[in-house]
Amino acid sequence: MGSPHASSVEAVGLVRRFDGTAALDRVSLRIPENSFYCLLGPSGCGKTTLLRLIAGLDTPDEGRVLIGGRDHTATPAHRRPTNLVFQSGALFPHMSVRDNIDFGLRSAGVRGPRARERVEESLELVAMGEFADRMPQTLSGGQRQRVAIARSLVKRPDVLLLDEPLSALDLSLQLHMRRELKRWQQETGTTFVCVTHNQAEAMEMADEIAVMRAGRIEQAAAPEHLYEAPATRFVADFIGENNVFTGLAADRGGARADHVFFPGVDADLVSALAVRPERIRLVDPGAPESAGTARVVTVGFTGRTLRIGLTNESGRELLAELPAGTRVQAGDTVGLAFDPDAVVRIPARDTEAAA
Amino acid sequence: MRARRAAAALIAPGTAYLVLVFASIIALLLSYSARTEQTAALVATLDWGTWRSVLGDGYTWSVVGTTLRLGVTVSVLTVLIAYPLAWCIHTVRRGWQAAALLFVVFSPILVSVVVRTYGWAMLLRDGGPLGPLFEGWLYHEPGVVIALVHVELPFAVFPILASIRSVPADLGEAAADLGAGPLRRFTRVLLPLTVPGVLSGAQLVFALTISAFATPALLGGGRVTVLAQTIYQNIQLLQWPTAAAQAVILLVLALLVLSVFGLAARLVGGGRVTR
Amino acid sequence: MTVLQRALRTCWLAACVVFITAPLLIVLVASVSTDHVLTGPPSGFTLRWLQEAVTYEPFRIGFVYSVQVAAVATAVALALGVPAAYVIARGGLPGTGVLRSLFVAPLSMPRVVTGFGFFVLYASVFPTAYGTVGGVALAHVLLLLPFVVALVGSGLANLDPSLEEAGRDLGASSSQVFLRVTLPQIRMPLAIAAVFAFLTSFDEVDTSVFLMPPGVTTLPVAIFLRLEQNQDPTTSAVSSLMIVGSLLLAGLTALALRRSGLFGAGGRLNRGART
Repeated sequence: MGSPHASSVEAVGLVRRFDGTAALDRVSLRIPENSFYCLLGPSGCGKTTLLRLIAGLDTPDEGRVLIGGRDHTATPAHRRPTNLVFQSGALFPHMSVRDNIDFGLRSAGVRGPRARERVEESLELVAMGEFADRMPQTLSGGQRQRVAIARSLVKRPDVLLLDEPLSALDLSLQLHMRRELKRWQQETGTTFVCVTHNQAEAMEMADEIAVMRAGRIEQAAAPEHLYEAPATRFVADFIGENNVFTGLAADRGGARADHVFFPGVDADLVSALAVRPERIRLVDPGAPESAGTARVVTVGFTGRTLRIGLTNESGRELLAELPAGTRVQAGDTVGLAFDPDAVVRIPARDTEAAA
Repeated sequence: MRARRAAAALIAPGTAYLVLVFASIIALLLSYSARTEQTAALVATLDWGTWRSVLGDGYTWSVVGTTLRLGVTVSVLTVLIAYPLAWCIHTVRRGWQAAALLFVVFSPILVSVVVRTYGWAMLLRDGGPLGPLFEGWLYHEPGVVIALVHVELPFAVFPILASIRSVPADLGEAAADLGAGPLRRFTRVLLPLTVPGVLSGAQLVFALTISAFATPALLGGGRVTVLAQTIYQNIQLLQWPTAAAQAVILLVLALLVLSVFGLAARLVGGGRVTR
Repeated sequence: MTVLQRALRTCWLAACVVFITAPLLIVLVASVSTDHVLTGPPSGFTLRWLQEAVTYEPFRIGFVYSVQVAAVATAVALALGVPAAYVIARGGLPGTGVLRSLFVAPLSMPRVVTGFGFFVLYASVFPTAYGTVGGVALAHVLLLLPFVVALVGSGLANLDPSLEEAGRDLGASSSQVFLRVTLPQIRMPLAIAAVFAFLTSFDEVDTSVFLMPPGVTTLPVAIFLRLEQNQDPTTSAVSSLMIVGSLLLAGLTALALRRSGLFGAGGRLNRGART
């Protein structure tokens, strides 16, 4: 059921205030057509507000929403080429699965065999065919979410909006549904815009992610790019696990931050430095490659790796991830080492570094 | 903006009805009570004679006294019966038993007050089943009280039951675990947390009792006279201005009672369970 | 719970059940007993009183009158109250708190005052409304509105607002959303409000008694006026018909609602918080 035209979505200078405070503060964004796009951020960052503005369930105080290049800012929800999958599913409890899915078609005046065909098609897509006559209350959380997605996809929207679609499911089901969502996006060729607070979910599903904080977009890029080159400290911290070092001061041929030496770094050009846990090596404290010393506090075994909790001289807590089998135990004093290319430089323009 | 206009259009008819009715009724009551002539004219000569004679008459005050006394007696008795009843209903575990109890307690609301009052007249009258036991109750205040308690009981059980249900069960268990016996658990945990329910039950009963008409009229036997009856009687006697003045007094009493209870509820509001 | 506590609870519940049902039971028994005045166990069974009751002219007229008044009053109260409850529940207007207070305000007005207020209103402004179905029903609307708004409002409050948003998002217009999404889910509170409003109006005495001449009255007012004069088995018979009718209507409504599986089904199951 390929969508006839997947559309791009553009937000231009969107502002939305609630009781005087801006939930969205001049947000501009371009979501490419036929992509899986995630809006990622902690709760209260404005991601759901942005999604509701795109859906037309709320109107912006300033700015415009363009869908497929056309201005839809004033279009009410029921006339927009978008459909929203609600966090709760919002299945109509008084209608069967089939009637729920049929609801949008009937609203659009699609009836008879053509409607039946499309309902079946979308039930098949989400593998819920055998549940067509069940009532929503008799379904599990995962099944309800599948029906909610089918109910939206049957409308063949240009853009499918998803509001925390997996947050009500247990973890193993979430992991499975991530792949399912990705597959459905590819099969339908529809633009998916998904709101989530779960960075692992966003990283796994999205072609592109906009990381949001306090009503603004911190960085919008492909997942790999966000991981390798976070533009701000917040992104460095929020995407994956990271060791962020602050309090930079110039030191012979480099910079020193939190009692760790970074050779070749100009302290004036960066506001913070980050090293991923898996890029840290533990060496002898006296070894020449040691950039600083730390004490091992905890050692946790995860299967493939050991997660080492450390405290360094400045009292800073650090995390290192080493291959299983490394000989290390709590109480050891170790040296920290990392390759120069493991150090991510967070530019000085990030004025919010102090936060 | 469009949504707001639609909302205004939806609520406008009901609002218009209420505002018009309240405004015209209150204006007319005041206007009627401030005249002495017997006329249905919209406006009449302003004359405080009616108010002077109503307020200066000892009879008015004895009727107000009876009305308030009935209100206090009936509310206290009703709450005393309703609280343990609500607690018993709350502790009944089996589903059908609880459902049956709720039906028995609440279905009388659906039966006309006149019919229920008539039932009490039959129970209490000479030669009736309870006649010997309650000799002299019918057509005297106790008969009116017992019938009013019966009529108002569901209105007290409902808020008390709701407030008992809102107290988390683990609070009582925690108190027991900390060594409190049943009495202490009741006086220190359950009762303080259900005071708002008791107050709203008592408020409802008091307000309904002081405005009750049919029950005192049928069971008072002319000996128990409340404000509501005097209004009705004065209409029969074509004393509309007097009736209007008494209606104003009754309305003021009702509002006074409601606000006193409202104030009390706000004062004890701190005892609410926050979860 | 100890054995003693259990025994105490059973006793209290039994005493309350007897207290609540006794006045209704005696009316039911008296209506089919051959005794003219019931003093003990009935000495025989007869349908004579019931027959007399249904043929007695004031009761027959009263029944038709009451049904007409209750039907009109319920319809108007729903027409005014449901949209108002919707607007209040959705809070789409500034001053929602004031509107809510306005719609429950009639509860604070003693029914006798309402009755007298409408009486003077009709006497001064609309003399033709006195004693008509429309005139009585218009006054009853004031009594019914708070119940309708509260019951329908609580149904709407339990409704997940994202269901309506989902309806709009799937292409339904506002009126389609109301008819296809909102209305089906508040069927239960709506039905309860309708039945409760109908019975409240049908049973009403305190307000009605001011609004009709003694000759042609609603059924409960006819019973009231007759009881003021004397008590006889015919009154018992019509009273027991009212008891049976009210409880039957309530029971049938509960049954119909249970049939349609509306108990338990609600917005509760798939509700979630928005981040």
